[in-house]
Amino acid sequence: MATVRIDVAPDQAYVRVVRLVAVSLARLNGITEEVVEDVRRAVGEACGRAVAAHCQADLDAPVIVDFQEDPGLTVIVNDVVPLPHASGANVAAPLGDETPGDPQGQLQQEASAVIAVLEGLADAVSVNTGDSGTAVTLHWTGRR
Amino acid sequence: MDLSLETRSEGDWTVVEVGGEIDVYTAPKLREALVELVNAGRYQLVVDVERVDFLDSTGLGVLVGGLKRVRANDGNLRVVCTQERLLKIFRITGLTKVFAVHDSVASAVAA
Repeated sequence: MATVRIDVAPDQAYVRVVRLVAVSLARLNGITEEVVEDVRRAVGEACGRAVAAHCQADLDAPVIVDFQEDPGLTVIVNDVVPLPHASGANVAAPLGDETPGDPQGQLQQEASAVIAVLEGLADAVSVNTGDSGTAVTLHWTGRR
Repeated sequence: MDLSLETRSEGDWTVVEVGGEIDVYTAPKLREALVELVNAGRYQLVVDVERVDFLDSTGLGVLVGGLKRVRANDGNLRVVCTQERLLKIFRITGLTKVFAVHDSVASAVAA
């Protein structure tokens, strides 16, 4: 059950709004100030990736971001880009696999880079891609 | 806070002072500014991010793109940054090996 849920229109201008909410909830859950910066960055990266995927697929549907306090903080960023267009589908693809002039390939490559960054920022990261879209789950345990 | 960009010359170098947030929304403005400088023949660039509050992977991508462009013209792009929270993202992505990161504009143009 999400504590806070935000529907984000697929426009990169709104990604910063999601970052602000993430920071606010992180502080509310006693996450240390140093880690709050990681939350801000990771949620921004995950949400930016999902919004980019919607824009790329020409989808008007919102990206849905769920925040759960459980304890610590879990953030789930859901896009509704179906396979085979999902940019998260190929997250294990090595960097440098870029095909020039292939925007889909570039998006996938960027998604791989984003996941790599997320691994460095969150305590736990999981990516689930299905027929109905991709869910990126980020978790922070709170006080350390 | 939106992105602010100020450009000035210091000897052979062009210093781009960036302020605000460099994210997926504002990064295209920075990309445009760097492309314009390269097109104008400015290949020795210092990007000063001391007044930047937030930098994401899109912003890093723009800096890497700028570096590639100036290097294609035998130029250089140096970064001025002392903020730990920004330096962390350079480290996580391994870009400390790609960028010369300086602690002041004076040291960047003198190196």
